[in-house]
Amino acid sequence: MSLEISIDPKLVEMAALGCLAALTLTFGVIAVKARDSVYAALSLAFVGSSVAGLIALLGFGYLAAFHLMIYVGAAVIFITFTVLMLREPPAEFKEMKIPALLNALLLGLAFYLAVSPLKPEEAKIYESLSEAASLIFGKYWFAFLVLVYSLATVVIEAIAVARGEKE
Amino acid sequence: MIEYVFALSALLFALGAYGAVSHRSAVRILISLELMFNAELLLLVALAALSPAEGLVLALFMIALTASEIGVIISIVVLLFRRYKSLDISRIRSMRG
Repeated sequence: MSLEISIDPKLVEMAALGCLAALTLTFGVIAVKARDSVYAALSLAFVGSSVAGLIALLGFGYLAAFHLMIYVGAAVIFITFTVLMLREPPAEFKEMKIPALLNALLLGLAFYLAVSPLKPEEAKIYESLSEAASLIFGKYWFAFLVLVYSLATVVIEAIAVARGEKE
Repeated sequence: MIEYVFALSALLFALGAYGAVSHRSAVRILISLELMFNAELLLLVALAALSPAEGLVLALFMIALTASEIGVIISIVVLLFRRYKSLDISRIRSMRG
């Protein structure tokens, strides 16, 4: 006698979405409310990782890997090391609390109301890297050129800042 | 499922906006703005079902541009810290040399 348990894939998908959403929001709150900037920067790395999980869940596996490598692996870790080296004193929460909360509520509501009428089809997406590559080097060649220039500028700027003498 | 992703990105965007307005430290404001970026990226990917290849390309550009933007802002933060010995934006009154 074999016992077969069938689990609805939709249910698994929703459970994964719920877990990743909870992680994203929890680490998002820590990133904003933590007194120490190091913990805030590390929480941002966890938010980035959770968002990468959500991107993979939406059907963009390669994009999720790119987000993890470039954004979490490089950019956020760069912020963390900067925070560690600057030794900033703990954050203060004395001013602007109620206006900031009101502003956040209104912005969040406006954001949701703006995007909620958009209903893309929930079809299973298959990433086509060859199609994306032909778009990058075809239709979006100028945007790609600007991106390459901006990254090269950042490298030069980083070297200039690193070589600059302390006052 | 898309509706939940929309709601999540709206919540994350609001959280980032709260942090960006309530903090006075330049690095904490940058971290809050990055939360807002993550919300926008999530929204873009959720909407990419309309055109998956273009959505993928735009999201790749967005991530790469944000990486370079972080490089620029962190450099500014380092220079400000060298000059003012603080990252409190209320103390930074002038950008003159």
